[in-house]
Amino acid sequence: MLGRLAGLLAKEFAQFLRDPVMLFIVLFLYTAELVMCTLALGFDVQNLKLGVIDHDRSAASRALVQELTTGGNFVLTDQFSSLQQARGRLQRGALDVVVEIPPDLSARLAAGRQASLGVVVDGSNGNVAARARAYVIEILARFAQARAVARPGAPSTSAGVRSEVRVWYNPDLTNTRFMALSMLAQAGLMLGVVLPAAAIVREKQGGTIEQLRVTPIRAHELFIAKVTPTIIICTGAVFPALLIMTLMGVPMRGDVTTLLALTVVYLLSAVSLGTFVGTITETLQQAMLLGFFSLFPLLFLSGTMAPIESMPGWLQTASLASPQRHYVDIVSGLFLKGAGLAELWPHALALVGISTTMFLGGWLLFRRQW
Amino acid sequence: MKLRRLLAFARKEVIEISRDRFTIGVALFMPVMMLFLFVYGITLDVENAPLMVVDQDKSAASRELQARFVNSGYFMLKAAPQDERAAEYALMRGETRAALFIPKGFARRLGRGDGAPVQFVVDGTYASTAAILSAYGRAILYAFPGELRLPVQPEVRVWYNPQLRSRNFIVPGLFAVILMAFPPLLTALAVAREKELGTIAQIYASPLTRSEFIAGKLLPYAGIALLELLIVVIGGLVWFQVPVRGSLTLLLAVGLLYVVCTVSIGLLVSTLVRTQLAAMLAALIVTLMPAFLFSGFIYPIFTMPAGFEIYASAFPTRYFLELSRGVVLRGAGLRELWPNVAILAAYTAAVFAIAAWRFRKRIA
Repeated sequence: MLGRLAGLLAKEFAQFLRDPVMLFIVLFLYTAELVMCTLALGFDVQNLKLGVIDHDRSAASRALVQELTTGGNFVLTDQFSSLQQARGRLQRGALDVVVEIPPDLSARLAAGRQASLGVVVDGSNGNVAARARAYVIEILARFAQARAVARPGAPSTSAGVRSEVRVWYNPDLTNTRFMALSMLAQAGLMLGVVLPAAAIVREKQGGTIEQLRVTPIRAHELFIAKVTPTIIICTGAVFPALLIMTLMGVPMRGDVTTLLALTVVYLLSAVSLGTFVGTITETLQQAMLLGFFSLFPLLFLSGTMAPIESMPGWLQTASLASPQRHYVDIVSGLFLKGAGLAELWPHALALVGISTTMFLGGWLLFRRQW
Repeated sequence: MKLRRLLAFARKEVIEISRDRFTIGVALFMPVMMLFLFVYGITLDVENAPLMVVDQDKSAASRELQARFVNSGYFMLKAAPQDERAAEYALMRGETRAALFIPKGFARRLGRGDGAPVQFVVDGTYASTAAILSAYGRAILYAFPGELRLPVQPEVRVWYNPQLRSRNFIVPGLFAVILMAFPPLLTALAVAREKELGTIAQIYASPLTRSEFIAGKLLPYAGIALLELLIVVIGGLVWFQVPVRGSLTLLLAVGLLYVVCTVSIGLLVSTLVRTQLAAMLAALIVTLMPAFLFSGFIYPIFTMPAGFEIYASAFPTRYFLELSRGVVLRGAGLRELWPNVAILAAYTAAVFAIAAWRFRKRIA
C-alpha cells in the first residue's frame, strides 16, 4: 500500500511543480501580497484635516483649538467665519472635521456653566468618522479636566482619577501586525481550498479518473495524495513569510514549533474543504466558482475585514465554522500575545473538528463515485 | 470588425452560458450574499465591547466608575473577576477587549484628592476598535468623578451619514467592489476553459478576428455583470433603504461603463494564463484583492503610504467607488465627478485594446 501511495504522491508532486505559474502564485501570496498589505493597510488614522469656526476668539477658545491639534490626531487646515463657508470644503472631501466654537464659550466657562460646541464630521467614510468622533470626545474630556484642575477654588475631588490607559499587544495601535497575520491565514485558506479541488476535478474532467479507478488505488489513498503536496508546499511557504514578518517588525512571542504544528492543522481543515468541493463538482469551472463562493464568507467571518465582536450574534456563531477565524486567533495569540497551546487548544480542536467533518463527508460522497 | 460576425459569436456565447445553470446561479447569488454579509457584519462605531472589571476597592466610588463605563453604551460588562490575572488571561485569549483595574484604596485617595490610580487596558489586536475604545475609556476617566456632563459639551453631527449607519457607506462601496470581484473571474474562467479544453482551436480556425472575439466574449458577460449591478443596487436601495442623494441615472450610466471595464480586465487576464486554475488565482490577485483592500472600500486610501496610493490608482475600482459614494452619500453630480468618468473611459479603452492585442490566434 505504501508503495502505491508513494507512486501517487510522486505523480501529484510532478503535476504540481510542472506549472511555474502556480508556484509563482503560491510564493506571491505568501510574500509579495503579505508585504503589500502589511505596508499599505496600516490604517493609521492620524492628521485628520480640521477646520475651525471660532466665534469666541478668546484665550479659552484658542486653548481649545490648541488642545485639539496636540497629539497628532488633527491638523488645523482651515479657519472659517461660518459653517456655510466650510460646507463646500466638506463636500469636496477636503476636510474631515469642522469645529464651531460658540461666541459665549469663555463667558460660560468662567461662570461655571456648560458651553456647547458644534462638531461636524464628514461621514462619507464611516471608519474615519467613527474614529474622528471618538478622538473629539476624548480631547474635550481632557480639556475639561485640565480646566477644572486649573480653576482656583475648585473642589478638591476635581483632581479625579490618575488614569493609566494602556494598549496591550500592539501599543502603537497600528493595523500592520494584524494585517500581516491575516494575510498569512488568507493565503493558506485560498490555496488549501483551491489546489486540491482543482487537482481532483481535473482528473474527473480529463477522464483520467477512469484510469485511476481500474488500479488498486483506494479512495482515501487518492485523497491523501491529492492534499499532501498542498500541505507541504504551503507549510514550506510559511518560512519566507516568517522571515518577511521578522523584517517588518512583527514580533514572534510564541513558539515556532507550535506555529508549524498548528499551521498543518489549519491547512488540513482548508484542504478538507477543497476535497469536498472537488468531490461535489464535475467541471473545473464549477469547482473554481464554488471554491470562490465558499472562500468569501469564510474570509469575511474571520475578522480580517471587521472585528467579529461587532457583528450580530448569529454571524458570530457562524464565524465558528470558519477555519480562518480560528487560525487568525491562533497566529495573533502566538505572535502578538505570546500565547501557547495551553491557551490556543480550543481553536486547534475546532479546526480538527472542521476537517474531520469535511473529510468524512467528502470521502462518503466520493466513495459512491469511485 | 464585422457586426454580423460579432453578434453571431456573442449569440453562441449566450446560448452556452444559459445552459450552465450552476455558473449563472453562482454569479447572481454571490453578490446578494456579499451584500447581506457586509451590511449586517460591519459596524463602524463601537458598541458594547466586552469589558472586564477587577474591582478590589468595592466602594461606592468604584461601583460608580464601573457604572459609567457600562452606561456609556460603548462597553458591556463581561465579567468582574477578583483576580487581576484572570482578566489578563481573558485578554490574552481574546475573551474580552478591555479591562479596568481599580486597586484597593481607590475611594480613599479619591476623597483626599491626590489622584486615585486606575488602570485601563485595551487589547490592541484590532487597531481600529482599540483606538476608539481607548479614546472613549479616556474620556470617561477624565470626566470622573465630576458631572457626567462636561463643561464643554460637544454636539457632534455627522454629515452625509448622520447616524453613522454602516450600510449607507458600505452599499455604494459594494457597487464598485462586487463588479470588480466577480465579472472578471467569470470571464477569465470562460476563456481559460476554452484554452484548456482545446475548443479555442475552433476559434483560431474561424474567420473571427481578435477584436471580434474579445468583443463577442465581452457582451454576454457584461450583460451578466450589469444584472449583478442591478441586483445590488435594488437590494441596497430598496431592501436596505440606503438613501440616494444624487442622480441614480448617472450612477447606472457610469456603472455600465465600469462593467465593460471590469469584464475587459477579465479578458486581459485570460490572455495571460493557460489554465482555469491559474486564471482564478490570477483573477484573485489582480481583481478581488485590490478591489477589497486598495480601493478605499474599507481602508481609506489617504492612510496608505505614497507608493501604495499609486498602486491603488492603477485599478479602476477606486474611481468608480469614489463616484458611487459621491453620488449616493453626498449628492454630487457630473460637475464634481467628471474626472472619475474620464479616467474610467480611458482605462476601459486601454484595457480592451491591450486584451485584443495580447490575444493571438495561434496554437500553444
